[in-house]
Amino acid sequence: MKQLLDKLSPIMRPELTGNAESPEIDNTAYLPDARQPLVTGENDNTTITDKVCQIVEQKPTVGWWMFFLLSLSVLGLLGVFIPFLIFWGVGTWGVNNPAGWGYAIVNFVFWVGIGHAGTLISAILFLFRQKWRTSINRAAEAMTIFAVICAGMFPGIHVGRAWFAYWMFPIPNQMELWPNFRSPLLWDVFAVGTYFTVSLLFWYMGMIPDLATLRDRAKHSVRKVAYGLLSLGWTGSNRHWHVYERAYLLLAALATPLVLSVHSVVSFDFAVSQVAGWHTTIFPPYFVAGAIFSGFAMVMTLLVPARQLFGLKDVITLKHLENMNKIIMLTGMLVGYAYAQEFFIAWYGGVKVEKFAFINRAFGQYAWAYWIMVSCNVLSPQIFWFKKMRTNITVMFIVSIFVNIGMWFERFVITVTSLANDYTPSAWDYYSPKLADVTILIGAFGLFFTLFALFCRFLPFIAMTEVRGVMAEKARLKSPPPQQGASDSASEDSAAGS
Amino acid sequence: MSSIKNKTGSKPGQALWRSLDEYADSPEFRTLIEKEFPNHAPELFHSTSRRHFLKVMGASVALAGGLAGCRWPQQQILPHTSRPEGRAPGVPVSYASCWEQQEVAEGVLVTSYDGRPIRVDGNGDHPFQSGSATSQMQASVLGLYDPGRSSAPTHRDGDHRVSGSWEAAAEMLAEAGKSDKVAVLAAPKSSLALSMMRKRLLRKIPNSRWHEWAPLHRDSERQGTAQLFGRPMRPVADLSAARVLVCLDADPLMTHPASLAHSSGWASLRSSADDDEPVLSRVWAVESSLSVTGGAADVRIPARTADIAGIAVQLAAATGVSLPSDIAPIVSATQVTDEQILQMAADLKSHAGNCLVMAGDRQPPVVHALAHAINIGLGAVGKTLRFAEIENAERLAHIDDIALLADRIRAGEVETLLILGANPVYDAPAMNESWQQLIDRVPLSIHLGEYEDETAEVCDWHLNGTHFLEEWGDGRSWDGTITLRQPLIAPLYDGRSSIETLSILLDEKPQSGHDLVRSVLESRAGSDKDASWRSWLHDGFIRDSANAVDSAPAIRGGWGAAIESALQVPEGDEIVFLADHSLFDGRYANNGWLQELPDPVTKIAWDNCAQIAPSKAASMGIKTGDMIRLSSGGRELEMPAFVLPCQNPRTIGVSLGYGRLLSDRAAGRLSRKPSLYQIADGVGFDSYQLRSSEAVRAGYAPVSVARGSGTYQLATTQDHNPVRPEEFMGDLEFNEEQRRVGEFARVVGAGFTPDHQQVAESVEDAGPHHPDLKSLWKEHEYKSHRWAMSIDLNVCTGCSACVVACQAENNISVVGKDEVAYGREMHWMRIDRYFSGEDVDNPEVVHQPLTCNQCENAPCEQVCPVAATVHNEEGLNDMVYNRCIGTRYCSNNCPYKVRRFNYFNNTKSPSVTEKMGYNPEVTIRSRGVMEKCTYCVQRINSSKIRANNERRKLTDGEVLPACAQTCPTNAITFGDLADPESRVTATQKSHRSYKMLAELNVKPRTGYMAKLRNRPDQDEG
Amino acid sequence: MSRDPIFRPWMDQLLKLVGAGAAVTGIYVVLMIYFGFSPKTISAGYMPEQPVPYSHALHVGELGLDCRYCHTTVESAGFAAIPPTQTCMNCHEKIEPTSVNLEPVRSSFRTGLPVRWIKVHDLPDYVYFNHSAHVTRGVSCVECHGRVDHMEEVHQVKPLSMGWCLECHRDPAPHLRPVDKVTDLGWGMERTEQEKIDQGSEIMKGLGLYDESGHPTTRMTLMTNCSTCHR
Repeated sequence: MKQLLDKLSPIMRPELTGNAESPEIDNTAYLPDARQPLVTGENDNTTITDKVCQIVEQKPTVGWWMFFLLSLSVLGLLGVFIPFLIFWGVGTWGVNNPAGWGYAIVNFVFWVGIGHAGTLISAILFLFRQKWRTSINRAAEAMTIFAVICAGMFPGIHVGRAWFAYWMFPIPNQMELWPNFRSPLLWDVFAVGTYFTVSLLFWYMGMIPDLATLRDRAKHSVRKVAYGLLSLGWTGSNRHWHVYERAYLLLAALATPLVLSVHSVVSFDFAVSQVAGWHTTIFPPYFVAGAIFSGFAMVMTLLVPARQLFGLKDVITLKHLENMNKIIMLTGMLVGYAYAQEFFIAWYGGVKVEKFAFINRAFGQYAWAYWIMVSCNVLSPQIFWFKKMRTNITVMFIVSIFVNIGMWFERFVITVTSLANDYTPSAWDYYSPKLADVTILIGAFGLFFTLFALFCRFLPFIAMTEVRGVMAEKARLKSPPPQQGASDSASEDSAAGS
Repeated sequence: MSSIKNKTGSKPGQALWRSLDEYADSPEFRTLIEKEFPNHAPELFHSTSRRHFLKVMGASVALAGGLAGCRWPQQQILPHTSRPEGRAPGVPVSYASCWEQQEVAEGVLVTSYDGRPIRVDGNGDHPFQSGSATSQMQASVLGLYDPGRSSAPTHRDGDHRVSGSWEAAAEMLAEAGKSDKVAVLAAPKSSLALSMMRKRLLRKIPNSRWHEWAPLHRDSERQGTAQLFGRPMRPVADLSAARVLVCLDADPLMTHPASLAHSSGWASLRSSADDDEPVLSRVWAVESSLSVTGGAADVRIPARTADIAGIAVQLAAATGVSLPSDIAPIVSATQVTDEQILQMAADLKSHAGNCLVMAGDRQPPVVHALAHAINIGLGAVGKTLRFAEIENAERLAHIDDIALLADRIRAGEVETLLILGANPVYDAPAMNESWQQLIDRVPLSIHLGEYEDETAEVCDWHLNGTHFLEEWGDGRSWDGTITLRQPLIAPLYDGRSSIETLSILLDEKPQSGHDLVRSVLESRAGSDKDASWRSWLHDGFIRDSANAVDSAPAIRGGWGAAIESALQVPEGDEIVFLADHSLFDGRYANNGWLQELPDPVTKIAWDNCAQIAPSKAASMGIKTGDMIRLSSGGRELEMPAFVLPCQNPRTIGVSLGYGRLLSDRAAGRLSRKPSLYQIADGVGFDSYQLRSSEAVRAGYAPVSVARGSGTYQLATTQDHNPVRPEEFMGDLEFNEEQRRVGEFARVVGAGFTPDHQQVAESVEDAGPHHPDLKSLWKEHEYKSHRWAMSIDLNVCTGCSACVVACQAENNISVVGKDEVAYGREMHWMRIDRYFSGEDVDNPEVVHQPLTCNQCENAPCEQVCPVAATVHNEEGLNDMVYNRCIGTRYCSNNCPYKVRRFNYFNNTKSPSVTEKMGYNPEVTIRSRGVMEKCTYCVQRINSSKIRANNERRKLTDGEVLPACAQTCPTNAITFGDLADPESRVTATQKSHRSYKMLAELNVKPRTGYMAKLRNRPDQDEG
Repeated sequence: MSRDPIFRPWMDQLLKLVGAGAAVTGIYVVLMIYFGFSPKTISAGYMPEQPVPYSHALHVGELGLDCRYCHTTVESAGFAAIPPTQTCMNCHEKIEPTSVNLEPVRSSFRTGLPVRWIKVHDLPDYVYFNHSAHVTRGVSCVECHGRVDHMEEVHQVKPLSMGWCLECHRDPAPHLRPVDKVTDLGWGMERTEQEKIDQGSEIMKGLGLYDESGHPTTRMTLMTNCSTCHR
């Protein structure tokens, strides 16, 4: 890998002058002989630390309050409709006889997908030594956690008798019954469960040094205690750093296969069944690509406003966003390839029912959904071929929204169209959502954004130590002589460590 | 309600009330009784009681085991004080009784559970019928427990109705009995006891008169035979001998009163297709609207009802019936070509003796006369047909009878009008003034009926009648065999039967129904009266009591006089009024099972509609669900159109019995909403409004069709939202669907003597071609029984009796129109109806019953995360409700889509009476669990336990699922594949046998047998 | 510049204590639920008060009535019928005709209204237990009901949980006895486990649940199929 990057580096070598906001400079390129200026502007350890910590330390802005209260009120929808659902039964949803699965499963797959970017960025990019990840990984991981929380909610409430959902777990019981280990739904339980645990661990571990920084800077005693407890007595001693770095590496290694496994397993829910249009071998890679695609889009949706709001332009630079756009475009095309491939195989395979299923998708009663999906996922990212667009804040924000929509519809198309018209024409029917479907869909976003708002407010939004650790000499030289105190010893050690 | 308890305290129904004491004592007893039923699924926003909330929430805790100390509700055991002989708690007993419709009694066996009748099946011992039952017979048991039945006598008090008591009613009746000028308007019944009471009434009260009215009757048959023979006779057909059957607007297999006998006869010939010398019959159906018989027919010829007389004349001429010379056969108006008729005639002649022509009750008398003239000419009498004498031959035609009553009322000749079960206000055409006004003219009007219906509500008195399972009675089956009726339970609502009521009216000391029935039959008893009475009750009928048969009835000269007039038919569109396949004439309107039963032809539940031909609809730009305005003879009605292939383009078919809007009208007259209308109210459209006296006489009426305003949602269980060809990709999808339909329901063209080899090949070819099938899992091996089913499409008429039988046996809940429209019907068994062929106005019809196929490699089992649906050693696909958490994954993965999910709590707080109707052998499913056909595993198990207790092997046919038991054509065979001798093994080995979607390697246990269609072009030579 | 620390050293001890406490509580809760919710705890021992203090100990234990004298249908039907009042009165018209305890029985006999017994062995509605299927195969009453002949008031002895049913359905042999000994509750108590198994195995062969070599047949494995008890 390194050699490969070495070869590439001359091409990517930038001139290190000029305004960071201008797309001319590649401040995230890999420089074998120098530290890349990940952070732009006149920044040094202190400014970075201040920039990040002030988000937490200062009084929340009006903007934050508005965002938080809005999300909270949307979250309220869940508070109303989930009890309502549990009480009356899933009939309050639009699901019917041929289409036994509707919005609930669509949302589940959608959110699990979103949950991919975080770990991908933090784990895989870490292993590939992509230092530019440091500016965005913390937020991305947080997003992962919250997305998986949203996802995890759905299998629980989508079952007919939610109060028995725990039967899906292998718990010894007086019935002497175990779950059916041949069922993909059961695999889901484990896959998503593991993924959530590891991601949470990974996220929290990465945060410890920053929490320590916050602890040391904290004025209010409550904060002192809270951050104190959270930072587990981190002192930044050499030994701490040593253990920390190793554990981080191991967790990254552990998390990497999960990134690929989770959505593969989720795709089995469909691929293992025999419904025409579900029973396809392409699903695992196709789902993973889609997941990364949607994940990055969601990161984009969150970071673009966030860096504006919290004045982190220098840390989350335009170049970071551009890199992500490249990934979005790539994965978008992967997904497009998968769509094409499905049709090819349906034709090539010669199974009549299969063939019908796909033609029905594109031209049947759900054609509208299919074409929304295609235009959002395949067409809209193509705009990133142009650097101008790739680096245009507004454009990339809009595209990221499109991609989110498109990816939701992808799951809708897969789930619903195949079920609504499958083997027996006599059983065909049209699935359409009811009020409860829509409100719970929206409510999930409320939950997600509420959690994210709280994260911005109370936890370090950027992995300060990591950023400090990978800052270019230029910035470091400008920094005043080191002071005592955990926060700075941290940076020095990390420099030594890395 | 107290009256019930007092009453039942001293009646055979005791055990029942004891077992329900806890409810009977509870304060909400009455509210429960009046509670809406069935419990429709809740709307999106729905207020609910705290009690119910806790119940639902509590359920989780209770089922999960509950906290130490807090136990589930305590249950009481209430034994008899002295147990009746041979009665063991929880052991079902069945009694013979009879069920009646259209003046014809069908012998039934009623299964009673601890004193609660829960099933009605056919009485197999009965000389004139098989052990099968129609959907209406099956559903009648729900009618018994209908909380909507009227529960006490009521009478008019100003513009209110007040509940009275039977004591008061009895006084009133006795008083009424003293007056002369009594008129009775009765629904016609075949009961001897009733006719005895009629005679006594006419004798006792000088100026009294007995009128009869039924909206659907067989008068034209009586008149037709009268034209021919000088006296009305009853043609008793034997379809098991009819190689060629021509139906002129007749529906012998469904709406005909003898449909059960016909079906088994027709099927016995049909299913001979597997014999070594196969002999097939051919059915020609000439009809205006698609009937069940028409669907099963080999050749179907659409024609206006009005034009069929012309066709009959031609057919008669062509078969050599000597007609009055001056008749110029005119069929110019019909689309029926001469050579089609000649073909029919040739077919009839070539099978002279083994042929039969039947005319439908919509046809004018002369068509019946012609039909029987043909039959006699071709020597059918004594082979496929016999003519039986009938009682009170002098009776007027129904329409003339009530016309007469109307006149007498206007003339003031009626002081007391006693209405026994008839409902003229709803179903009789107005006689210058409406029946409401006419009844108002009568000083004292009394109505006896099960329901407080339209007529009850305008009468001065309404007396609550009995359900047939509550009363003593008798009746005559189609061939006249006397069939007895004994009560299975004391009247739930303290009702009285017609004969008991008349006895109160006439006698100083009213007699009980039992005594009346016994007295009228006494004469037929042998030396030991008690012995013969007991044996009659045991059998349910009296042997050799059929009506006398005239083996060679003499044809009267000049019978053809009426032909000329019958041929003078108006041009243009016509409307015909059809007996509804579920509600018949509307009497079952409050029966949830029948309301929810998809119509065999249209597949519509909870509605009736105007059936219109595709070409006609296209020309008018009408789609299914559009409202159309029908106007006929100054009457108008707006109804939703249903585009039905096979409908004759110039005929609009409308079924009767819907649109009960009494609650609206009642708002003016009554202080409360009458109970009947809890289910029936506002369902469908009242097509009686269009039916004038002339229409009743002629059987059709000229109509003009116009586009109405707006559209209307019809709840169909098939083609909910059909993907129409024009909607995308040209016709690819259409062909795709057609191709697959061809695979599922395979049809083979065959001559009278089909060649097994050919048939086998074409059945094979119809299937998809696929590579060798390998299973991913280790396949089960079966060392014990291997239960399996085969369904013979060749004899399935789609009558849907099996669907209701299944519903009754397995406590399947009714979900209501909205949910059905949403695709959430609960029927475990559905009957797919497919049209095939080029001509959309007259395609061929195939019915395919579809239920859980009990796959050996069941896709549903593998995906259930909690193992709630698993395979058992006998190959059954067990569905464990109490383990199911409702992921619905199994249903998604089922290629047949035969699993049903409880989206709501469909059995929430059933009324007391509803509870009584449940089958205790089957778990009541809660909200949020999946359910499906189990091959009636409860029956399999109880038979196995019985056999093992007796240390013997199960015999073939000992285990019979409800559907197989009730099927009128024995299309369903069930048994053990492990037994090489069993019938199911034979059928599954048959050359017609195939498995649906076998290419998926799910290895279904249910096999289908291809349909053979005996088309004329298949004839050899 | 030095800050005064937020946490004092003794807090580490506290932390350990808290951790330990949490662990213990967790385990306690799990065990509490596992055993507390088990039918062994909540069902076994259930002894409602009956309208008539009928003593099986007296009638069966001392007077030696056979179970089937009252529970007549047990061999032929699914339900072991509770005797009709008539059965009681057969004797009690003569014996103890004035006893206060028997008043409910007498009044029931007078009025024709039943005695309201309380159900003790109450299975869920979705469980279909058939007495005849067990009794005629040599499963004694005592297997499920315990020594009723020693009970002054009937109470539930076994948990009647699904797991408990399965124990026997998976391996009936030790629970079987000759059919004629089924209602003899005290019978064969002295037998050793091995004797029980041997005797049972013979019966199993007789019933066709074991083949000649003593291996389970399909008819035996059938007993653990869901639809055997759930419909």
